[in-house]
Amino acid sequence: MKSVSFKRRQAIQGLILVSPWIIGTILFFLYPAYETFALSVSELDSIKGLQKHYLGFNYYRNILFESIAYVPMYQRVFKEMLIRTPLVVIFSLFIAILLNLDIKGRGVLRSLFVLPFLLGSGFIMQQIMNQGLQDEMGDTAMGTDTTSISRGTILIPREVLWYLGPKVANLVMQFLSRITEVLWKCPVPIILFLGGLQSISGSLYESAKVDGATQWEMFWKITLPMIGDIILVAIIYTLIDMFTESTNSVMANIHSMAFKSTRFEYAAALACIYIVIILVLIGVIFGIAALISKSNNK
Amino acid sequence: MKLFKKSKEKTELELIMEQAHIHEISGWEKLKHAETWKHIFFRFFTYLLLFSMAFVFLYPFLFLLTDSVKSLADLTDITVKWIPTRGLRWVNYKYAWQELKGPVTLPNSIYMTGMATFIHVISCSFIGYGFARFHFKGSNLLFGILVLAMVIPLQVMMIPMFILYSNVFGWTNSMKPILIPAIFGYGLKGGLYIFIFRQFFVALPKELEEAAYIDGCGFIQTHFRIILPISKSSILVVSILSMVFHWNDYTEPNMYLTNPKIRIFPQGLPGLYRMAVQMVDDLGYVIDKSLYNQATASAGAVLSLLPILIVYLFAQRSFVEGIQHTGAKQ
Repeated sequence: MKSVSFKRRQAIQGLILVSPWIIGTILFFLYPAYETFALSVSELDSIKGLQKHYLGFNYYRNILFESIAYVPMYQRVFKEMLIRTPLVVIFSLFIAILLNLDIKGRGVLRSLFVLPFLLGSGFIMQQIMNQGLQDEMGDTAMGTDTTSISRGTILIPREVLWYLGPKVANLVMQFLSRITEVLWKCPVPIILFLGGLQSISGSLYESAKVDGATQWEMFWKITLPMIGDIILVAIIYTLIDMFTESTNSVMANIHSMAFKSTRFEYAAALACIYIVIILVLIGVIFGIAALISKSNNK
Repeated sequence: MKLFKKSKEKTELELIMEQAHIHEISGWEKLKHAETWKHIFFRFFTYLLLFSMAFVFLYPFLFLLTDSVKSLADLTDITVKWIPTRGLRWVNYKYAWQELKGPVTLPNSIYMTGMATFIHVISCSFIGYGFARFHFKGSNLLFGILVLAMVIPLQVMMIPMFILYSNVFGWTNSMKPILIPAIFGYGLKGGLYIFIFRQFFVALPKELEEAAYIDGCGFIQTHFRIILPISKSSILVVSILSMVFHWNDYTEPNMYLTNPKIRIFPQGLPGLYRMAVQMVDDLGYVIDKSLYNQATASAGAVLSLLPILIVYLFAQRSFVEGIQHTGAKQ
């Protein structure tokens, strides 16, 4: 053993430590990924042992060009993602900045804001949302389309909205209906941002103050650049969180397609398209982040 | 912890005072300055904002709590919203507990969550240590795959997974499909925990391990004897994350834990909610005066939240500190 160089020994030790994960990757990631793809381009003969024969890209063609249900479904999930992720990141940054102020009782407030995390993206949260909806519906007297506008009525008195007319009311309600769900996605980004904000040294702000910078300028010139990396992490976390939650309509569709209608091949094709969309989106975000950091360094 | 040290931010008034070489100023004097009023005004607004947002965060919890003790008459009465007027109906909890088959499913739930969390902490710290400290050919590529596995929702590949577990490995009607992948750093969000541990270990000073090596400690021993004992905060973060995710998960348990003997506690909740819906017909009239309604469903939800809430209350402070610690090092 003594003749083995340090580098070599380090490599072997590292491989030993990582080896369980490599086995896991082959068994629980690469194999299912391969099988999912293989399943999506073939027809299943028997479910036992996944016996199948090659069929071609029929399912893909059906999903993308023939069926009228799925392209809008992807669009809807994608659109919702594009609306919600910035909202989540902005709100959590805002809350984190407030929680980072030197105020009394911020310890209590901090733990309050982490609380919704305990519900996760689970079933209970969904039920609470629906329940709140039903309850509000009982005494909403606005328009006929009560389902889409009644969610967030805890925030604005309904009477105010009556005077604004249905269009404005609808817009406000669309926003408010998202706000609870958006706020409930915030806990982990809030914690991430708090960590980032606390790692910025106070002397930066002090010297800026002496030079006569306003709070607004300090936010754009000091706070934002200093937590740029964390914003990226928060965006990625939020995206993954929304992509993987089981209440998301693509996930629900894949699940019901596979286990209720037992059309495994079709579900696999749906999943493959979904994965490609996610990878492209995350690639684009990383690309933009790299561009921004490049232009900052110049 | 250093992170919780109050930031010594000086108010604008203090800065002005410093520049003017005024050091002593009485409270009444302060009130004459516009800056002080601005400060008070700003504080007031901060509290207003924070508490109103905290209310939005808490509103559903509070609603769940009041709903869980309502009687049937209170539930259908739209004038009753927050405070049940016809007495508190604690018996809802009893029915919910019975319907969720508490005596069987709660131990199952605790066992599954506890085992999975324990396995995740051990295996992910082990693997994370390998990623953090040892560089070998292809280690960057492997790390890339790790990030990829973290980003892709593994649930979408559940069809081959399901067939692999049930037909190839024969893990039907057991908790193996949930516990065994955790040994290999997979399972529910395994990649995330490896990532968290890696971020933490990279930031640790190397001197400790070097000292251990010189004293003849092997690398595996070093990990368990030297590294793990000093990384309590990241262990706590991973434990809580893994615990909460496992406790709240429905997708995997619904696929694999179909036998009533190994069902877990929250799995019965959808059934409870379904009964609650059946109670009311399309026009909102109560058609079924059975024991189960919205209130029992809410009581069930509260019951299933209670264990993690208790654990969280104990670990809350160090959890927030720990996650900040790992988050700041990105």
